[in-house]
Amino acid sequence: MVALSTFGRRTYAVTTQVSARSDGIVARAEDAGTAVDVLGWQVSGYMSAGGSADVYFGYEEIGTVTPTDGVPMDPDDPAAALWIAGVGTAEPAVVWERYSVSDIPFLIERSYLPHHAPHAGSTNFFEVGLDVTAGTFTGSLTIHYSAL
Amino acid sequence: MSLYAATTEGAEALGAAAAETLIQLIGATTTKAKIAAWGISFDGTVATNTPVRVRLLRQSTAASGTGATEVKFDPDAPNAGCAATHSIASNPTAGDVIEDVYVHPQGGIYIKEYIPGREPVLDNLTTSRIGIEANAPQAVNCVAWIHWEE
Repeated sequence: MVALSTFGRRTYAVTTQVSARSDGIVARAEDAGTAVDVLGWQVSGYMSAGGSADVYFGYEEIGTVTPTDGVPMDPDDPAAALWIAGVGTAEPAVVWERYSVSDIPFLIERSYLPHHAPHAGSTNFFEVGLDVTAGTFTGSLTIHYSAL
Repeated sequence: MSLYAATTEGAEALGAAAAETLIQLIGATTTKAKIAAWGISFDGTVATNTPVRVRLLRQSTAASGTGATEVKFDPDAPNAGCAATHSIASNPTAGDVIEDVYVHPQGGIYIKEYIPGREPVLDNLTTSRIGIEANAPQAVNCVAWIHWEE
């Protein structure tokens, strides 16, 4: 039997989809004051011709937000953990990973093995974001995370 | 616990700009099932075509289509409790979205395999359904598959 850090924890998926956005876009995970682990994330889609952007993963505050309940991976779990999609005002102060994308369609997906999951305390908020530097972005962002 | 597979059992033709469910898996009252992995691939040849939006999502209505063969990973395993459907005529009603990715139709392949303990769960209800849905801006053929544990 393999020991896994996510056993006994509620796990959630959060997704957001955007079309032809020229400003920053983020997906954020938090759990009302409880520490969370990010299990994985993805950003995929395409830029308009000549477009470019930076994709980042980190944590910090963001600007305008729309709070919604996360989707529990087990439908018997409560949909209590919040996720937030909104417009990023700046890239996070703490960036763990950064990628550059151009106008070639792209799919960036990360999955963290047990014990390698990035962890944020109760006052921090995970963000997967995309800062558009030229053109527009159409695509989706996803975070999978766990909470006690 | 046993693993099972279902596929589209052939290529599905996606029309332009119309969401279509390729496989729907329906829960069994006897067990909760876990989605172990799923995937989709396209046979498009046009490099300038727009990526296809692919979602794994819960669905609140049952698919009307062709019953798929639930293939055992272990021939000694019991028959699957969950039931899969492919060649679905009209798109079921969407519920919560678990995965949402864009995949290029020019030979694009997407495979999602879940680490044990992190799988999406199909409840032990025949009203619990998970589907793989694709929406292609330009018409293209695709195949899809899903593996689950129960």
